[in-house]
Amino acid sequence: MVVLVTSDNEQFTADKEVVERSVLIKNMLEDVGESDQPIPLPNVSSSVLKKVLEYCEHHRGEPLPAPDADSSQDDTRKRTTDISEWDQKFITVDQEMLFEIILAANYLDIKSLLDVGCKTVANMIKGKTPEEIRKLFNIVNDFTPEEEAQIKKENEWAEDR
Amino acid sequence: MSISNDSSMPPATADLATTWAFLEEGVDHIMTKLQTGVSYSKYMSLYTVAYNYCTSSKINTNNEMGMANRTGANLMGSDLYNNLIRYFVVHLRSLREQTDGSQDEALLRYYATEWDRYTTGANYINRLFTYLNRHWVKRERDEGRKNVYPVYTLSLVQWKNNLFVPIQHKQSKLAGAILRLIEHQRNGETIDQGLVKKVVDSFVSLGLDEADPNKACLDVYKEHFETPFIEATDKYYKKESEAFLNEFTVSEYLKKAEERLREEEDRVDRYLNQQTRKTLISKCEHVLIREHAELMWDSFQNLLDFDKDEDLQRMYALLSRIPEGLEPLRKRFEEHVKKSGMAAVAKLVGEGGTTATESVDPKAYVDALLEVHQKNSETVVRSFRGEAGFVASLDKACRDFVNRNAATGTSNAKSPELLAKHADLLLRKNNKMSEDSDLESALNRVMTLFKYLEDKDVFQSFYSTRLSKRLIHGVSASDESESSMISKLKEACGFEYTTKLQRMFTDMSLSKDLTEAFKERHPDQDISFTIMVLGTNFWPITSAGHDFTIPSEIMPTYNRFVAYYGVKHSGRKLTWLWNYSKNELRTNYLNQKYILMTSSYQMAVLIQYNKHDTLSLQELMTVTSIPQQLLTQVLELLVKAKILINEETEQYDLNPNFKSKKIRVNLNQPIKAEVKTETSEVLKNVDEDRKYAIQATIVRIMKARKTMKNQQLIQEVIAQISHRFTPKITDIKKAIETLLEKEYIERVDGERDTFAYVA
Amino acid sequence: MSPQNYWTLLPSELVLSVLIYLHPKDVSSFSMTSSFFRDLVYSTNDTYLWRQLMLCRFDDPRRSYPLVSAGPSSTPPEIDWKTKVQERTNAEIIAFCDHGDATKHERKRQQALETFVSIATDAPPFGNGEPSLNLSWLDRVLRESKFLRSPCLPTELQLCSQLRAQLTLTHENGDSEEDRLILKTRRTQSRCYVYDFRRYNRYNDWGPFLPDGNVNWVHVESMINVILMNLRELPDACITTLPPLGLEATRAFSAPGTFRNEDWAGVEGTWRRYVSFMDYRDLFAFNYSNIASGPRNPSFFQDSRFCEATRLIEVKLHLISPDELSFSRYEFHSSYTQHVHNPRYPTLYFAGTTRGLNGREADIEGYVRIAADGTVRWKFFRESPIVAIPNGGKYNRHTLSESILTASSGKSSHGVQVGNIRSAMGILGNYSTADHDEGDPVGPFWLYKVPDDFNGKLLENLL
Repeated sequence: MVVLVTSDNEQFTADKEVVERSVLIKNMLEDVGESDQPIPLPNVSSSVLKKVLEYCEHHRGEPLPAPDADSSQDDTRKRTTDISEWDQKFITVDQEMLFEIILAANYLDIKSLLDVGCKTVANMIKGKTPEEIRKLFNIVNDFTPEEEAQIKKENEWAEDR
Repeated sequence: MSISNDSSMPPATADLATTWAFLEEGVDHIMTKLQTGVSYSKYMSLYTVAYNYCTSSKINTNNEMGMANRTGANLMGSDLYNNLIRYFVVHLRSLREQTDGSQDEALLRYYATEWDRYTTGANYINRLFTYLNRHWVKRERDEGRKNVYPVYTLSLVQWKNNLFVPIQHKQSKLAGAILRLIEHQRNGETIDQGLVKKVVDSFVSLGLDEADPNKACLDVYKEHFETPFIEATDKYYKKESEAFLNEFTVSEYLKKAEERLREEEDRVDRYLNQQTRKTLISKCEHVLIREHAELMWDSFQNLLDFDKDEDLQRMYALLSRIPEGLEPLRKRFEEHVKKSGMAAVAKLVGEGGTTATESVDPKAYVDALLEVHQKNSETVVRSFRGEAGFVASLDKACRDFVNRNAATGTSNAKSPELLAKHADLLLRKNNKMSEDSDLESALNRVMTLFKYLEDKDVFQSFYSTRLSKRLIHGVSASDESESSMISKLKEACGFEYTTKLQRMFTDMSLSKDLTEAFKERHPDQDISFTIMVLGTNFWPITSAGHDFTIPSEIMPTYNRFVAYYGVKHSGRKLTWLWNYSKNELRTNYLNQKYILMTSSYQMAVLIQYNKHDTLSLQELMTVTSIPQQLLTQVLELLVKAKILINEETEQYDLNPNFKSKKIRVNLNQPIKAEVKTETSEVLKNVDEDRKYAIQATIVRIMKARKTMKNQQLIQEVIAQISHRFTPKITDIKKAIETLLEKEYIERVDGERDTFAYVA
Repeated sequence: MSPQNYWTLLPSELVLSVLIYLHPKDVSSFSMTSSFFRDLVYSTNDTYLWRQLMLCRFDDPRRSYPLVSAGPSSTPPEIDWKTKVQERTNAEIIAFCDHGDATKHERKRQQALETFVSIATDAPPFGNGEPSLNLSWLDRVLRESKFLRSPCLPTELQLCSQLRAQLTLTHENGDSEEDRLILKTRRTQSRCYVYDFRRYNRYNDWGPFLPDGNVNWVHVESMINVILMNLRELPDACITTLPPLGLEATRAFSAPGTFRNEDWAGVEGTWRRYVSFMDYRDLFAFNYSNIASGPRNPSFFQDSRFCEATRLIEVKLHLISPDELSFSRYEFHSSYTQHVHNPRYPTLYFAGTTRGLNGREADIEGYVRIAADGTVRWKFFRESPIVAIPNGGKYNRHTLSESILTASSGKSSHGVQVGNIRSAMGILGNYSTADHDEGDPVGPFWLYKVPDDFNGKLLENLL
């Protein structure tokens, strides 16, 4: 068992196999060696870690991406925005939590969770007008009118007639 | 408890200076004091600080900064990366300074220890800066920027530039130290192979493929180690082999070279990169073998002469490693075999005490040839691993001495004749083979030589003549052996070659049935009668060609059979070969009853003495119609056997006092004239056959090709026919002339030397 | 307190990680929401985003096989990922929008068509069995948008025909009433084109070319349609082999067989050749007589009694040096001046034989080269004409053949490779006599590579 300590000082205990979904933790246990020291996670809060551990628990035992699988060529060919049913349900959370999960997955280096998060946000954007997107994410339109005209021209290539 | 480092961890928003100060302390700890350990919290705080710095490119929520602050779109990381470089440079400079005084093994030890420490630490650092690798470094590389590497690769590049290259610059200190150790080992001393391996491996690791840092690249290894190593190897073995050969024999040298080659293979396995194997071994092969190949070739004959099997094997194995190594051996071997064969026959002919080749004993001749073949083919298998090139040399040499040697003179027909005669002796009833298997293997040996015969048609002719005699005279050892031999010939030369031989057997068994049937039809014969009816085209026998008066005593039987056969096979013509038939006569005029075994001519003479006691040559000629010359010879034999007495010239009396120890007296000895003519008769037949064979081949070729040039046609004929005999060009030209006359082919108008097939 | 914009939590690399999952159209919308995102999409100094958007939809253009810029292959040109993505997205949008008034969008339509053709050309060589992203994208867009079925402007004819030629009727399987109607119209148009004597003249070198020397894709498409429609009518049992169809068959090196290095065009080996032709008298009647409402009237082909013949023959080719050309030596030299020397793809010369159902037929020779427009062009000469005279039970075939044989010394034919070099789809061409007399038989053939040991049955479908 491994003990994790969150930024708000809460302790979580989980199977090694579960926490090793995080390549960060897996590498560290490999480098430093195992001990009963708690592992501090200064960038993750307890509410988010709880969610992340739920994800790791569900996906325990699945193969991890190969260490040097950053050959983007193969990545891009297979890219879809499909999300499995369980993940879909898991990621149905409020926007704040969604973005926090993305950040945590990025920090802990859990590639599959990061992908689920990014796809979910991408799906929220699909097919919307700029105004609809702003509204959905509370983005402030900071363009000047002159800029607006320039932006419109810049995006003519994607314009439906 | 150790003091917690967490308190000193800078906040997420810390600037570069604070961030780097914290990271540098951690990096230095890992690079220099890793053995004292790292705590989870230390590891996590280093990772987190690096991560926080790399992810600090966010939307600036502070709108006051306006457009000026829109640099967040670019990734953060170059500052950390540059600081890491600066750290490595300083760190490595201090390591290098400590190598200044040391050299050789001490230098290697220091280098290897520091290499271990450095690469272990760098692996650690690489993981702590994993986020930098994953985003900033990767993006830079994707954009095609050179000289940006993942952190671990970066550490190796720095090691190479700041430690490795500067040390090597001083008279290749590192490589030199390794090469000296290897030389010690070649001299028989024990060295620390693990140390050499470690340093050599580091050379491999330092190679960098700019396009893909994860791919192995041997450029550093090759430049700094392999090239000087191969040079040193060349020098070392050049010197050693020359010195060795000054002192020892070639046989000793073969052993030495073999051993050295094995050692160098081992060396690759123990501590070199596998890719060096090819270069190293081919260099060794060059220095140790090619450079001394001349000497080895020259001592080859000596090894052959004294049957030095082991040395031959070794020489073969060594020379087979260089492409041009074996050909001179094969040539010398061929010459050697040929000479041995010639010498063996010369010795045999000499032993006969006469230069006349006529008197060569077939068995002794065949045995002599076989012995040479046997001995040398064993050498090929044992010493040259049955290598195809040596097999070819053996075959070529055997073909030479089997067809032309002291016994044959210039005649290509002599060897086929002797071999056929030898086969005949083997297949006769009175051969001395005790077991069937002995006979079988003797026949196999005949085939071994048969394979080398150039004029297989001559053999065929002699063989069929001899076979016909065995069959007619009933002296064949066994039907099985005969058919075994025929199937061997068939296998070697094809169906056509043995058709006639097989047909002879068929005639024999048909004749047996015919005799039975005839006896059944005429059961009350006063004469016991056996007949052989032989197909004219299949048997190499001819009628005597002179008159012969059939004695009245056998006339009824003769007539009865002619009538019987005429009914059975109307239209067939029987030619009676009196010169081949034989008879048995019972004596009634002596106290002791004898059975005289005779030829037909003898029978015809003796039967006259039923009515007369004495007859003149002239009288006998008249009643028998046998020509005088032949009759004289027939009578001579009878006189010699003391059946007749010749006291007055041309007067022959029946000997009333004839006596013999045996009841069955064989008077049927071959007469001289018959013996003499056999060889020339056979050769005449062969010549005839060849003419037809050449003509048939030309027609076959022309039918397929329609038109052909003269030269082409001749070559094609030679190619197609040489498995039976070697045709003479003049014979082929004659055949073409004949076919032109017979209008099988014609000249093509307007084109010189071109023929066309006439359909 | 206003609701929060959580994007502010993400470092820019994570924002990009989201954007690479979007369609380029959505990326455009997103970039229009605020200046920060606009800069992230348009003003970074690296190409990451656009490259990613490109590579998840299209083949890596660095792996394509350009024939025209066949100079010494030095460093590959910088790829403008952004422009490429925008061009292709725009072409897709054009294909799907209402085609009601084509003239109004003439410029954009032209751009879109050029983009489609270049997407097909840019597909990487056939290799590890991976389908080309370019081609499956193009296939989907053209199929779903039905862009090539809508009426096109005269200026668009060549590009539309080139695309339709490459699709080889794979989008029209005849299942629906609409399909059947389209196929019927196309077949008639194509026959009118292919069997029209006027299409073969000095100005197009008696081949499927335009006066400027470029390929006449309308002609090529017509030949494909004529042969394919004839093949579709044959009973299944007759067909042992079909030319490979569809966009994948246009990829470089997709033809079967093993090749020597110098054989860049994939000449050597075994080929199959489908030939379609009209009854010789029908051909004359169509061109010159007044039956069916005058010469060259489409209604000629509407007569239910009309049909064409189809043969399948085997062709075996091997490379030779130009010195070894025998009977085509004269013809070759007369056309040599047109050749441009291409160091990477030198003109290849070949010889071979053809074999029909009744055995060996003729010796052929020829050459293959890359023309200035980047197409692979084949030229064939044959010693004696193929027997292309249907008898249909109506005519005495023997005498007709005789008359043709005595009238012509041999045949020559032009071929155009559809797709890239060594494409599986092979070569479309038309035969005519070497003499180029008016009234010589004309018609289309389709020559494509089969595996070296291929042994499928040949075919004589002489009406």
